[in-house]
Amino acid sequence: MPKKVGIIACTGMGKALASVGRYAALYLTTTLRPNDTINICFPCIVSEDDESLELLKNHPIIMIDGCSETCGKKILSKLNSNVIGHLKVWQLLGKYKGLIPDSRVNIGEKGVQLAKKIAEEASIIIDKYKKENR
Amino acid sequence: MSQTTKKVGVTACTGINLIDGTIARMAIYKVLEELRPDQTVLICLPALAAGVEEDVEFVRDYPAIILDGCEKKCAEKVFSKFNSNIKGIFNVSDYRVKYPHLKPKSIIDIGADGEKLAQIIAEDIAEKVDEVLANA
Repeated sequence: MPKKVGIIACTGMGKALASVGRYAALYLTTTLRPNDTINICFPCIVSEDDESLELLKNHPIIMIDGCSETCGKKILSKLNSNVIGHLKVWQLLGKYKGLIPDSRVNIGEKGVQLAKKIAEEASIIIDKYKKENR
Repeated sequence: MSQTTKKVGVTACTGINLIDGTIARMAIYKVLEELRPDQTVLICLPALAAGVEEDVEFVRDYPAIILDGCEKKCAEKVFSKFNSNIKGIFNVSDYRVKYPHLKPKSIIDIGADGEKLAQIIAEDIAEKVDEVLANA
């Protein structure tokens, strides 16, 4: 039986696209794929919380990075992790043109739509993982 | 006042599994955008941990105030790894105990009570910013 996929959003605060990534992770784990995913707290990972590092070690991971600094990817590359997908919000904005979030505090209706698109992209990766690990 | 003490760096843990992480995030946004926009800079915790130059410089150059969401104190732990000058540490969990009648709605939408709580915390942090700058 395939393991649940760990979803990690960078949870950056400076840019609206990071807020979109955060929303996408929450939407994915609570609404779209709650039975197939587990939300892993990135700040807990960077502070080396044992429980979170254990989750990182034991689950395949989809990383959602908000901006081109790719903080999530940089940090996970130094840790014991199995990243099966890396979603870059700023690149996906290019694919879903027009879905520009309002602000970092309130991503607005278009930001929510973009977050849902990102969650759907993650969902495709999850389906592929499940198919390959039956 | 020296060049490096004209502003205070503020950060939130931005945790994603508890409502308190969202409240921390919203409180820091209130400080940055509404209460003390000219006196504060954001230090993005994930960026700091990843070694993004701008955030590492902010930690080195400015006194900092940290807002953690829960007892894991992730922001405080990350800051302790850097050459930081922490002037204030706040934790949302302390405010949840102090204001039990304020019940935030959810992680995605903290609701009216969550906003009130974030505002209270933000006002305390803003006062601390003033104190840090006055003593610089």
